[in-house]
Amino acid sequence: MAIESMFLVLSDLHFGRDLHLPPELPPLTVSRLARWVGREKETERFFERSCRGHSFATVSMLPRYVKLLLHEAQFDGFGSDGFDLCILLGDQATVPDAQAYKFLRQYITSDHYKTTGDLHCAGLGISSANILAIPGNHDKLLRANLDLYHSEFTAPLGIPRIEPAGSLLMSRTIGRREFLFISVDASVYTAQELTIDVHARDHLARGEVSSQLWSDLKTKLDGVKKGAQVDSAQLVGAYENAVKVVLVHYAVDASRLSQHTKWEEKVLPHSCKGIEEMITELRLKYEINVALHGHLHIPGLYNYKAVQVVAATTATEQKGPNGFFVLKVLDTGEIRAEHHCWTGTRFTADPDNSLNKQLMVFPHGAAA
Amino acid sequence: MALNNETRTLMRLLKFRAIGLWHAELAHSPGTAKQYSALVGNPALSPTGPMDEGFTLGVGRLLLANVLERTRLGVSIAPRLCPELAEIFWAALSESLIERSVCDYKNFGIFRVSRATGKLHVVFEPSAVLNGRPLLEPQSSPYQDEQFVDEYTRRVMDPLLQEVQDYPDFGAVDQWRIPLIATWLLTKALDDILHSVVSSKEINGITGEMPRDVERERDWLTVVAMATGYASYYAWIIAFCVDLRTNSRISVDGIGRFQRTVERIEFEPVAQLQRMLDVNIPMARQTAA
Repeated sequence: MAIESMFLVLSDLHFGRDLHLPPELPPLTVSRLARWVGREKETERFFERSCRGHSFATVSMLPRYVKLLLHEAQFDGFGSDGFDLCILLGDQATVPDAQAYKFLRQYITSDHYKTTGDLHCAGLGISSANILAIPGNHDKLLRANLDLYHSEFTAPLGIPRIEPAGSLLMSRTIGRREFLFISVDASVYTAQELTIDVHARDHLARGEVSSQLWSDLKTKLDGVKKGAQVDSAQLVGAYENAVKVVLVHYAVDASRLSQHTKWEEKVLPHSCKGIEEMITELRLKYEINVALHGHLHIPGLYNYKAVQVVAATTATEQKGPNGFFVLKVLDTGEIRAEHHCWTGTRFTADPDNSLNKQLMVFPHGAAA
Repeated sequence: MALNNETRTLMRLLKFRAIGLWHAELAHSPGTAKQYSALVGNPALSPTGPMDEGFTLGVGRLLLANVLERTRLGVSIAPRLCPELAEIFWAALSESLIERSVCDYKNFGIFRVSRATGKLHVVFEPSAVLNGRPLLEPQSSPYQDEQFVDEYTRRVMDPLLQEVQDYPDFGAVDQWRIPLIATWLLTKALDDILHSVVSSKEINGITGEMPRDVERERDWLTVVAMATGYASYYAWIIAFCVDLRTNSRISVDGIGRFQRTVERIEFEPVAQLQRMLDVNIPMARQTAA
């Protein structure tokens, strides 16, 4: 069993403004009504709990550990010194900010990152052509759109652009296999930029698959099934032979991640309306195989109505339960997920067997 | 003992972390929350966001006033900074070994990596303090403000280093013992350190009572954060000494095992550290500094 290809799955990086700097909130306005109903306090608590930024230790050690993983994979037949894909599942920055995205861009794509103040760390050195990224709720925090995220992060790297509350299809032939990636932005957007309004609970951390989003996605997938080019997707082989992977920031089934309690949900909703129905229909009508999500900072592998779900925790947030997944495609057609976690002083293979297992076998075990 | 890159990098990282913690402390402490909030909401101070100079100077003055009034600040900062310090300390160590094949942490010891015999070796030379010297050695920074902050910090920490020599075992689970002792030491010492630093004529001479800009990092927020960084570093080293003395052995996950014998302190790196260094250090670099 040799490794054919490897994907690095990172979520909730929560980058601050630079290697040594925390995130910074821009000046905000609080609407009178929001103040009156106590949204200001609620939002403050959210900022305290969820706007911590990255930890220096995990950010500086991640590239070193990843290099070790790639080196060890070569003994298992992996013929490359880099990942075939790096998948970013949202919350790339804690606060959408030009400086934070500049730091992130350089960290991900360069071998070495240096601050203006002469602090430095290794970078991940991933080619921008091998990066897939979807935005999370923090990437549009208190913003009415994804303009800042796109202008400062995706556009400079040439990563295909997903529209707010929209979807994006991408096909990739990697090694001998074909993949269809279905990116979904299920974020809810504020109506007023940089304003804490009375609806803050609905858009700070909650998601929603709107009927428009779902309808557009179905049309796109119908097109791809018929062999048309849609967004950046056009399959070379048969639709049924491709592995269909959904990328979404919000949890498919939060109840499967036991650490996310009902109490936390009550304090500030993190759920995503309509996502369960979307995944169910995507499985039934469009034969999706795997879904990847982040958001709750809880790692997990679970099956949701015959769809294998990979829940990625935060890779680098300060004081987070840090970790990440590596997906390996073996020459047998098997796709395996392996979790790696941060112990406080190092990254290491997660000893929890429930986070290291086979996700699926390639349809028909076939190679393209 | 001139201050080197490794210790200076660590001190700067701790200083920046301390700045973040001081902002949080002032924002949430009942005694300062209103004034901090007023600074955040003052459009004249922060037209482009909270990192604006005027805002930083304002926060520095607020912090200075609280330090001079001897508001108990250490008790809330120490438990937050000390547990994070180990993460930063060991991560910066690995990074230095990969980048320069050496990591010289003043008052802790020098780690060196070598491939002289073909196989990668990590050796450790403990500092005099780790070997039982009862006084911390000056870091001899080339920068005046750092020299003074170091001196005032050591003046408070040195007696603690001597005092803890006779302390009994703190108990606690292995991995928590050092952060626990360091937190206890920092809680005890930080207020005195900060007060002596901000009251010193040397630091006042450099910073000025009312600094007008944050150029050269001579504002009160940076000075207090710098002192917090030095204090936490020394608290952590003293905690390490206490633990090594009482238990003879300290295992650091992913790094290695420090063992005190009758004659010396030995360090044995774990296999994962060696593998990671081996993969990340270019083969061309054969010998250590």
